[in-house]
Amino acid sequence: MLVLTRKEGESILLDENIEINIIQIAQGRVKIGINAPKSVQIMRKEVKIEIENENKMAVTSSNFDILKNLKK
Amino acid sequence: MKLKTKNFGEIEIDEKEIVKFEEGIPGFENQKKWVLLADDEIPVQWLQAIEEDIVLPIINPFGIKEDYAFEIPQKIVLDLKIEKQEDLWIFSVVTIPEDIKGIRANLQAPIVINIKEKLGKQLILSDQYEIRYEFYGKIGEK
Repeated sequence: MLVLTRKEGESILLDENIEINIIQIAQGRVKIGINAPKSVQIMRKEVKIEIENENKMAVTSSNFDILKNLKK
Repeated sequence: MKLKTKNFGEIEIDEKEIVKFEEGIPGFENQKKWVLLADDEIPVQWLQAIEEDIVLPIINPFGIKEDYAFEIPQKIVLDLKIEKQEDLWIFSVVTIPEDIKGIRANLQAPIVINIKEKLGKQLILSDQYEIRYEFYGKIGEK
């Protein structure tokens, strides 16, 4: 992993078209601005992890007998 | 080809029906090949992995949330080679708890399949829909 140190107001460029801007640092929180093309998907990592967990839960929850009570 | 599954026993799969998920499915990134299995008796269908015996219950989200709608990003349209809306099959992953009344669907991460090209992906939408949408009693509502 590349580790960089940045100050408030400074930026990082990824390729030519993605800019990550450190907007504010205060009380253990960093406010980040991201400029990127629409094709780049940006999400909080917790969301991805939550989706992974929900998928795993769905797999283990596949209770087939219970579903028989769920007629169309 | 024949597939041995815990839940459906030994089933015959037509290899032409296999849907490719290039990036797998979140939580199951290694599983690139899946097949859709339907059961006429119940509204829930199944996405069965080919290489390991993993099965995801899925449902048509439009049947449980009538105003469900989302935009498919252009990148996904290209990746999945989507040309016509009719080729799109949309599903939500279902979790079935011990108490059936808590049955829920993940509306935030729809599974999009281009049935013509047999290409699929689970999208992650921005925070506009529930990950745990309980729908018991809403089945079949239109």
